[in-house]
Amino acid sequence: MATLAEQQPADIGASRADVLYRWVATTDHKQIGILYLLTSTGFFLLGGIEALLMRLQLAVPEARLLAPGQYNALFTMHGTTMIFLVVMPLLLGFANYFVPLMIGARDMAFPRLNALSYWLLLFGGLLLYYSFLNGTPPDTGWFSYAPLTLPPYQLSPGVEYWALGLLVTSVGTILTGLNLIVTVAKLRAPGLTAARLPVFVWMAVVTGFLILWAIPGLTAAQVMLLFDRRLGTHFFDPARGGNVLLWQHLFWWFGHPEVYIMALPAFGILSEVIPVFAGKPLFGYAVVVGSGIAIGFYSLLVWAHHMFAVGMGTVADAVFGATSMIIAVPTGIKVFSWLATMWGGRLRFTTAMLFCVAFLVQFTIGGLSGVHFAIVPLDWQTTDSYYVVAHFHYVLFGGSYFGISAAAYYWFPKITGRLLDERLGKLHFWLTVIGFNLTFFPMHWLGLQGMPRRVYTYPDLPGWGLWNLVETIGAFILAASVLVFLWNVSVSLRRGALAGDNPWNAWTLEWATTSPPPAYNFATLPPIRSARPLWDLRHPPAVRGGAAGARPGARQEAGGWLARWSAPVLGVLAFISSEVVFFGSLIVAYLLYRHSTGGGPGPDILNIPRTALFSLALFASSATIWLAERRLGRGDLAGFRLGLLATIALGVLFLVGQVTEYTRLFAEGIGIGTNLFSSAFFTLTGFHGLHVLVGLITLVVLAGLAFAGDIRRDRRTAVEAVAVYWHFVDGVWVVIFSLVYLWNLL
Amino acid sequence: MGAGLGLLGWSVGCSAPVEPLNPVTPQGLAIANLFNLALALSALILALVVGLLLRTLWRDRERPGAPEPPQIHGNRTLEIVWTATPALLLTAMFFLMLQTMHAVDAAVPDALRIQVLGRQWWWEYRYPDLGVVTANELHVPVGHPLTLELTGDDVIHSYWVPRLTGKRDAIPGKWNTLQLAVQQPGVYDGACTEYCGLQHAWMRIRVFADPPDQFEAWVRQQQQPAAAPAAPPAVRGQQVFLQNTCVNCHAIAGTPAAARVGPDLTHFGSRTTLGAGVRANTPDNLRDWIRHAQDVKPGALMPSFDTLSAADLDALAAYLEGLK
Amino acid sequence: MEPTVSAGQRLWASWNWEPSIIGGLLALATAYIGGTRTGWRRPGARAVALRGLAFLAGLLTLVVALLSPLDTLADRYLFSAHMAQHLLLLLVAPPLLLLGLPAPLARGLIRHPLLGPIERGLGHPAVALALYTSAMLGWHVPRFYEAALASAQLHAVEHLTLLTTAVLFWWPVIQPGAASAALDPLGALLYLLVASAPGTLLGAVLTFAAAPLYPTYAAADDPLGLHPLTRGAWGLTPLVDQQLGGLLMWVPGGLGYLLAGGLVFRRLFVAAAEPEPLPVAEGRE
Repeated sequence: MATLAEQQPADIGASRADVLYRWVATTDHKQIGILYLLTSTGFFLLGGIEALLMRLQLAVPEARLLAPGQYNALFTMHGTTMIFLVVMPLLLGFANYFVPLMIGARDMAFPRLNALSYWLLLFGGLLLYYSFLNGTPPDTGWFSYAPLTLPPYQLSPGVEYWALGLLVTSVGTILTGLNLIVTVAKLRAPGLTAARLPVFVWMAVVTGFLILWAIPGLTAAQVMLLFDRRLGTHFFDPARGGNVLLWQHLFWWFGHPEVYIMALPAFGILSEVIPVFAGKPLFGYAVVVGSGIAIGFYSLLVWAHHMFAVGMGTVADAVFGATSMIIAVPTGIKVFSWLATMWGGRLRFTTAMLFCVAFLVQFTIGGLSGVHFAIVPLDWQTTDSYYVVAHFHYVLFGGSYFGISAAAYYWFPKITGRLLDERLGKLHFWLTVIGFNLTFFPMHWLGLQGMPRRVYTYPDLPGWGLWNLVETIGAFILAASVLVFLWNVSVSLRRGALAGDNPWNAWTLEWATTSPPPAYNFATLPPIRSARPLWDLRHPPAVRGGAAGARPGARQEAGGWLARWSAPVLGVLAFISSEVVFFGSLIVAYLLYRHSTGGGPGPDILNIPRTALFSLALFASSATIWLAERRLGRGDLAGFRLGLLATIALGVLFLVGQVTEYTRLFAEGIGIGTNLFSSAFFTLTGFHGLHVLVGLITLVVLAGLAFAGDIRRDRRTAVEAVAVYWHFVDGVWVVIFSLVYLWNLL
Repeated sequence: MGAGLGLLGWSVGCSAPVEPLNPVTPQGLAIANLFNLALALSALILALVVGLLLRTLWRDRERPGAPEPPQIHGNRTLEIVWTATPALLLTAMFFLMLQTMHAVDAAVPDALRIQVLGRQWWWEYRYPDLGVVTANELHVPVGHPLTLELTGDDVIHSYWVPRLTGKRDAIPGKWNTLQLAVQQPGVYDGACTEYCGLQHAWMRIRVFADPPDQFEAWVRQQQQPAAAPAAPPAVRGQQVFLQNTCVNCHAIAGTPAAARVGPDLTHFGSRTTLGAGVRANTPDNLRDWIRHAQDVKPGALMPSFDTLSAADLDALAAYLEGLK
Repeated sequence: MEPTVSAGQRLWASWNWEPSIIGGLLALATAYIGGTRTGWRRPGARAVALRGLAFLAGLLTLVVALLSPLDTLADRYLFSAHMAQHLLLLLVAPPLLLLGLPAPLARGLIRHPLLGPIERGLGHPAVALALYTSAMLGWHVPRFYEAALASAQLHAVEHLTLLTTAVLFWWPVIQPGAASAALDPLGALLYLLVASAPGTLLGAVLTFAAAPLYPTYAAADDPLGLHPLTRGAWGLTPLVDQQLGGLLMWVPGGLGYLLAGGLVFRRLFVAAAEPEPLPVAEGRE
């Protein structure tokens, strides 16, 4: 870190403590990006060591190197680490560093929030890894199917470390997602219309939306899991009427889009790197971007293809099979578009380009075997065998990791000012390709031989020992390739060739500033008249037929629909959309368990008129905050304060209603663990109450500022943002009140 | 890729054919046919991509002094072609998939019902119409349609015998079914494929497809209660069994032992493996298993009976191995 | 085998010649021809004809949805048929009708002293989205759904509310004649994305419901003798039928929004295909 830190010009002559402080306290997107990259590289080494230990155990049949529990903990931690702490944050790290640069912005939309996201990732990761020090690492697999995660099948707190660690990182990831979206929506340089955005930026935005809408499903499931383990509920306990498939649906609602969260930014990287080293624009830019959006959209509709063996029924299986097959079409479009970009170009085989070429082949293999999993009967044969291990490593390692490696070679000079050594780079590349394919290709065959995944050992069946040994050797070649890369980084940081602003003759905006960029990113921006501003600079327009094709309309978009909302309001709206999924998951659980009373109390114990009264208070508060906002808009500070106070009073009244309702139920002996209905009821309404409370706290802060005279008309955006959140809290209650209370009248 | 896989399979020279592609049931055959088609198509597509890639890599590599390439932004016709062609292929695949699903899942009226219970970490089989209960090793008649009814007794397991048909989960609180009819006598191995805890690795499956008369004989034998031990060590062994905590978990028909926590041992001696496939069923392995179960299969619910005397252990093993 | 008429023939014969629907469709067609009469012989007649075709396709969609045997199946036999009908009313007919609306006609509507304010109020994206979603979700609450099946009048109200809220919903996206509430492409993309969520949720709930939620379709009575066809040949037992209905809402429904999104997305790029020429005065604005 010190060497990188010294690259920042401002740090020259500063003491070690100063440097450290500057990194800890930074809100600069570039420094945060570097922190992301370093942290996830650290976790990558840990996850890699876990993989090597597993491969050692599997090198020969019936090995006894690791105890079964140790092996199970290793594969759980390996998967969890690589997904949550490596691939996703590496890609988000690149996005953090380069999205603002690529759109010509000074920083992210919310720099402090950005820093918070990073620290949540780090501490979530540390919490997860603390489980090793505690002696109880989680060992229920990265998808932790219930009821294996529940007592009596799992008593150790490993599950808690897993769930809490991921909850913490998830919050950070969600905040990064919304930050990226608002940044791109609000901070693009003049002329950089949506139709000219670099594909990497587009994919970062799509990924941002997927993060917002996918992760809350996992969060809700983990909350219910923790309640099951600690508060005596039975959401997932089949012995008490709970539905184990609820976990699977919520998990894969998150889990499948997660695959694309890890793949789409890599697609974006390829769409940046290949054109530059082919000397041609991306073939079918609009189609590549559109197919990325389509993949993102459809990834939210296909989760149940992870559950074909569950026995969902022919119709559901067939339809989810069909949707999953559909995804192959836009994915194929991307592969062909990259090929067509190279076709007829002038290919420069830099290490970055080599990684892209290998990506194309390996990702195609992973994509094709992916189609096999969409074809339901083939899935029945291949799922949960080593065939699926081979498949997703071809997608995530052969694909995403190779994309990340390409990005590392492509952008390292921009980040550090020095080029990575190309000779070491080629060695790194070839070792990675050979190691990767040796490790993962034989897994296809072993899977078809009947080798299940997640086994700590296996019987000595014909061929199994041999190919497992080959895989282990491949894994160690991969480990060597990582060492070569780290060596390359450390050598190049000190002695690498100076990069200059634009070593690759690239054409997007990040290359229009110095390497590394100054804290303020750009002194001046070039004019932006196409998706390739720096290319346009090198190729004056006179050459290409001049002003005949003037299209003044292209700039209008900047003033369009997005301009109506301020960045804070957009941020809150994005956050709300994420919350909708969280509440949606809890509502699904409530609908599922509404009648699961086990003969105990059910929805009919609820006092509807009483709750209706308190609900009116909450609904009225939406009106008062709207009035307060209008008063502020007219400069009527007194009216604004009055409106705020009224809103707070009404909100408190609602909470009082909820607290007294709870105490009445408790007094009747009805608690959260009484039956499935009460579990779902208390969880849903309790989380809503918590949101009201958070809203109240922000309102009180606003009121404090208002009375201190610190809110004037020009600070209206903050008030707007809080008001939008408050309306949302009311809106959620409209839904909950209708479903939980009013429905009983029907 | 199919070609690559096939090549890999045969190049091993170790005889094991790729199992789901070498099925012994009509259901498995339906899947295998579709799989072969999918693999062939995948191989073609991969060959196309790699071929185009190699051509452009070679032809378009940078040469000194080469002019700037023409700046092509796209081609509507090409884009439509590479959208429509995969879409059509997949549509065809979808209908073949429906057909295959129907072939795999179609119920047969007079099928033999077998209940399969996944338990941590072994399989219990019940033949409700024949009154037979056994564990880990399934016997089925060749040529007769079967309906396996699966459920999980504790956590989620998944039942997979690659040469028979696809896998299906055994889920607590839910019954799933698998339809099959084995056409060829033989022994077919499989395993639990849903991670189910510590000993997921040793939850293997062995299916014996017997010719009908042999199956009848097996059923008649299984329907009998355990034969009373005759030889002195086995008589002693029975006493050891009944006097120890064995009876808290195991059942042996014809004796007071009737617990259903662990595998039914009434005809234990007729099984080829023990501990759900962890060892072959030999007297030596059995003694080792009884004395050191926690070393052989750590975490299994079977405790290590390391306090048994050598003589008691021999007697117990003799008794259990005699339960044919 | 069948002595007289097969179930399939009985089904095919069961067109629903409901006069009010036929009258309504005819009135719509007449109004359209009246409103566009002047356009036919002008230059650019090809675009006008295309619009006419779109409108005609919209009307035919309504015929299929409301008059054809699909309606018979939807009314009494198959939940999935009813879902298909609703999808036609929500996602197919309204965009086609709006695409068929010529710009001058739409502009006249927007500038109309009485209708204009209504367009600005109900056509506002937030309002339109809220109405559309409430109508779609509300009518699928089993209680209301069953009530509509039981009463022809209420059923007509159901279909009318679905159709009109859907027209409102598509208004800001299709924006004939640059309506005041028109969304720019990015806004329209997000709008469609948000709109697709409730349908997805509804579809998911119906797909995974463990018991039939709508008793009419589970009932045993079979006045037209179609059960051998629906439950026999097609294999649509009440639960499978409900699952299929949910999946129709979910997946083809989702595809509908995606397709619309794709067309909107294209609009985003049409203006920006070529690089702009250098402006006379360089530099940042």
